[in-house]
Amino acid sequence: MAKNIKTRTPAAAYYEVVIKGSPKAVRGLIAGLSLGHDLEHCCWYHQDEDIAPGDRSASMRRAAEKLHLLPVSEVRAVVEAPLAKVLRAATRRIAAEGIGVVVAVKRIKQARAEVRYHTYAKRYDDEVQILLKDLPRGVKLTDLERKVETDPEAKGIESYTAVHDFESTGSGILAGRFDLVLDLRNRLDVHPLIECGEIDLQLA
Amino acid sequence: MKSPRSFTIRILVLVTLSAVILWAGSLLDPAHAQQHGEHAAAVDDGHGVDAHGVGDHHVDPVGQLPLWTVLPFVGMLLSIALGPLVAPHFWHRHFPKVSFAWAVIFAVPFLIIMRGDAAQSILHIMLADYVPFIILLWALFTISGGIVLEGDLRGTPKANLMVLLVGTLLASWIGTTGAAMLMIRPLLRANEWRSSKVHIICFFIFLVANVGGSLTPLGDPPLFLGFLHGVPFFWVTTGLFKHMTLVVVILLVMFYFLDRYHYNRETTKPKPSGTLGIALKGTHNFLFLLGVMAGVVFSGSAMAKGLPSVHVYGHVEIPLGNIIKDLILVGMGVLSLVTTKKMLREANGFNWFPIQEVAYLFFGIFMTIIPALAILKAGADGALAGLVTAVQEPWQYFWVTGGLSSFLDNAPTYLTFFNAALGQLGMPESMVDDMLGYADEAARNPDFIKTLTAISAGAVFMGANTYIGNAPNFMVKSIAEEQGIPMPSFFGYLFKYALVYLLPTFVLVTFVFFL
Repeated sequence: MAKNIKTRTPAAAYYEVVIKGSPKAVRGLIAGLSLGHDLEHCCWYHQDEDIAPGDRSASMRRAAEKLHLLPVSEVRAVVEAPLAKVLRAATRRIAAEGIGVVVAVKRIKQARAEVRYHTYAKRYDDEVQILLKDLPRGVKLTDLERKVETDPEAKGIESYTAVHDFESTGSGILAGRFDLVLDLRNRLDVHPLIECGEIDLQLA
Repeated sequence: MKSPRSFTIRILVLVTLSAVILWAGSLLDPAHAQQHGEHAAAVDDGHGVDAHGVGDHHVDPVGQLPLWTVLPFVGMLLSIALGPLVAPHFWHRHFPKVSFAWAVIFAVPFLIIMRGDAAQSILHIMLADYVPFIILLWALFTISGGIVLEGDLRGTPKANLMVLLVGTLLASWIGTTGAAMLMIRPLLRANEWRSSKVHIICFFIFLVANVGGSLTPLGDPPLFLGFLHGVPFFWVTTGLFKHMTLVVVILLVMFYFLDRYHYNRETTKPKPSGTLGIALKGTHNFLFLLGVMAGVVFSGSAMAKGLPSVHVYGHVEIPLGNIIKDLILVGMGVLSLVTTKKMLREANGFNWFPIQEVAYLFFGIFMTIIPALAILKAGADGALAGLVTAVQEPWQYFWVTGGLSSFLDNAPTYLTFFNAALGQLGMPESMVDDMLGYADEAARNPDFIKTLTAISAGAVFMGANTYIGNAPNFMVKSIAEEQGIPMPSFFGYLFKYALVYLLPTFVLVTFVFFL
């Protein structure tokens, strides 16, 4: 779904919704409501997009669910404002029909994702720097740490003492609007030398 | 990278210091050395002084050394294993000093206490093992570094499979380092467009940098050490053929399906060019490789064994056949240097540093391994009697040699267990070809054959288990990383690749061949 972000007008606000209930039923409900209100491509599930719960206390439970130690008993998703409004309005009906319980609908103040890279050649470092500088408006790269080590004596092939004549490592946090951070995180993550973390949500 | 001149000066300093140490040792007890030499010759049982100048049947006083004398050897091996992981840049700059320090820590007290015996042991291992070992690796590295594979390969599963297969087959004849150096860049170029390629490099390490070197002593350093210690040249060709074939087939099948899975997930694939534009340049170097093989085979032949030995000092003698072999090898290397265009070597990223590494590090290894080998040779009478008696079955030799080869360098590990096996049987090195059924069918020893097969297979195959198991592993990792491939960490490689693909294969090898 993230691929569609660029093809439509971004929403002004995003919300994290938490709905207790069977994951299949809840996903079906959201899909039905989206279709009924002409709000397709407005929802990103935490499980699919590697998004951490906005509520930190839920992290432990999520880790246990990932390891299949606990059954998945709630669905977390990020939705655009219009769909959040629809879900809020339907809260009672959803509960009455026994599909699930809308536990929370909270506005997302900001999304964040950690980015790390490690390169062993100048040309790849240049490539990474270009990617990290090409940020969309509305996203910042903060807490940037960068380390470049050069060792001219290490140029060439070695077998027992393999080191590189160039090595760069760096990390930072992408922070900004949810849709933009998600899109950028997914694009950067494709690069073999860049590792991106899950999306952290800062709730209002 | 140090200049060749600086390297030459350092090697000269090493040689001079070694000579001074030996000279000092002989001054301490000159008569003893001569007497010892006479004694060794007198007690030998008709084999004379063996091919390496040591009469095996006298009680070697070095073999009676206490166990703690192997500590410098352990320190040396641990330095090689941990240095590149813990402090890579420090290790890169100072490894010659570390190696020399371990050598001195062992050699000085050894010479002071054991005098002439020590001087002879050091001289023997340097002339019979270290120098030929370095010359062979230098010749193979020099010659294979002049062969370049260029082309427009497209990294499909079939093309990658072919590259791995060719590299595996070449490794036994040009050495694992040479084959890895020759094949890695074309493989990387062919797969430049792919997003998932870490597995290709890991399987390249398994097959080309390790398992492929099983079939001749030229393939992998442990097998050449075996050759220097009496194992006939073509014994491994027949002895390990089945084992290598099984491992190679399993790994190639696994690789093909894994690579096909990743290939199918690639979103963009380049169009096939329609032609297979592969060019092999510097092919005249294959003639020099043949020359190297001929030289090595000659030194193990009956004709070479019929030649006299050159007396060096005490009981240390170097067979003339070995000297001729080393001269042939040096000649082949020089011819390759003179006749190969510089641009071909540049295309391979060729430099002398890998050979400098081997020269420095194996100086320390060979110096410090002296007590370990002598104690193991002493068998049940030596301080390592526990190890000699604990490891008895071929499957145990396979896993112990292999397990240690995974984390320590496989060449000294092979030599250690080779000697343990001899010590266990109470047999001298001069009987190795007899026990393998080469010289005397009646003396054929099936237990020894199975044990030596297990040691050889363990040392060569399991060098692939970690980056530090065999020298080319790190080289391949380093080249791949510089080409933008996110190679796994030490433990990532071990847990995601070696334990997943190699361990089950080796378990199967154990059941099929060693139980």
